[in-house]
Amino acid sequence: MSKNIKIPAEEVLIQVQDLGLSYGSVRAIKNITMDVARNAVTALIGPSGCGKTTFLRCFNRMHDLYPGNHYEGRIIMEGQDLLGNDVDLTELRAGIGMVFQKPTPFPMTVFDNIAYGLKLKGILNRTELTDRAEMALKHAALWDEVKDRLKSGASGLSGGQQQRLVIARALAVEPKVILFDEPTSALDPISTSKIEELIFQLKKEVTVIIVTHNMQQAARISDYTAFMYVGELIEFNETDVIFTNPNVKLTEEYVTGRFG
Amino acid sequence: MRHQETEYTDLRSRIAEMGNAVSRMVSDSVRSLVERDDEMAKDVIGRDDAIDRMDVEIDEHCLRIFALYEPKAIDLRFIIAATRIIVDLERIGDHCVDICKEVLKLNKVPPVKPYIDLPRMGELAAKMVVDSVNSYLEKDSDGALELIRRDDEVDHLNNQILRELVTYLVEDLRKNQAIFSLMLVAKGLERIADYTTNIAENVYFMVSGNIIRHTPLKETEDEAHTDN
Repeated sequence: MSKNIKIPAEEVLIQVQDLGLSYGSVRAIKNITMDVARNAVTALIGPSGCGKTTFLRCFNRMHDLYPGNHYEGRIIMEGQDLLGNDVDLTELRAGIGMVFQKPTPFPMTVFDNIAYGLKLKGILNRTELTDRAEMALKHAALWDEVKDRLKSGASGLSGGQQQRLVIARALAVEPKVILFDEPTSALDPISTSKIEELIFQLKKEVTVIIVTHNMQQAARISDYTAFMYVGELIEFNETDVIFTNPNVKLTEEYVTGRFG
Repeated sequence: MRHQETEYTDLRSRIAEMGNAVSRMVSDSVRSLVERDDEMAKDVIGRDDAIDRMDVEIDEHCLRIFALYEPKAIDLRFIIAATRIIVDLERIGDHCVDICKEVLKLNKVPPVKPYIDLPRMGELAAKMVVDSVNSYLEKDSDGALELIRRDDEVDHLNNQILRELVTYLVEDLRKNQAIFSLMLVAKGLERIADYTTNIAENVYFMVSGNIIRHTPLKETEDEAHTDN
């Protein structure tokens, strides 16, 4: 039995090959090799400090914002190495959106939050902006709640609504991938279940990679789960296998709550 | 110890207790037959209520564990197996009651024949109950497979007893009531052994994650061998 599942080539969107990342002299993650399936949810789980967020942030090169970080290996998406020097980071981050733990709406109106990214992409036509904003808000299951207050400040929305606004903002620029870094850890159970339902729906259109501390959440919404420990990938498998009958002892100890 | 572990330990001891009580019912049923002991037969029948209570209590305990701890992996399979095993144990208890009801009828008429194979069968079945529950408590999948193999011996004894009883019936039709009762006793013991193989299959599932309920034993053994 292999500890890492092999996803059929036609379903693979991203290939992670021997990925490593060092903060200065500290190697935060190392030797990660796994595939990310297209139009599926891949969850990264593991105890605090295992490197799952570090791993997530490699996909859209967030580590480049700080000096002294050094990548190893490759992340291949559609034939291109995302870690290559020739990658346009702004374009990369439009194609691979990110949603953080705490909602990060811009200090502007609901509508402008969505239009912001579209304008950056050069869409200035008012009608098109309105249409695409409406579509994004509908996709993010927020439209009905905000359609009458598009011109109000985004900070007036509840935490759960703000988080869905951020998701709508990411969706508006039609990304291929959305990275979620513990998107519900600051939300109440009802908002959490709305976001979970949304992520589940989203995979029809985008590929999702999610870091979560909530194992139930990973079990509920993901198709594949990667279990990480001290910077290494311990087991990568179908979520059902990870939570019912994992192949690696360490994974079993973690999912049964015996450590971590 | 973590709170969760305390729950699991508690569940284990409850299952052990239920397993012991049921296996004693099996051996006492057979004793009541061999020793023509009405009191013991009635006592066994009376003990079934306690088994039913344990069944419900353990079921509720498992439900609580599911709700509160959302068990995963081996823990999940351990609890799932528990919920199934208690159903089999409870059914075994019911079979003991049926056997004892036949014993009460049999004790009213002169013995048809000396009992040789029936006590042997009863002993095997009672031992299988103990061993199946132990294989659960010890998470012993090899023991579980071994137990499934032992069922053949009980089936063989059952067939032998039935053939023998049919000959007695042909010889003396007046003994038909007693002979039918003995057939039911043998059938009950055979069913009890079958239930222990269900338990064994659940133990195998708990340990390996593989469902073997509808797989021929030989295939499972070959697979287990390859995995090792």
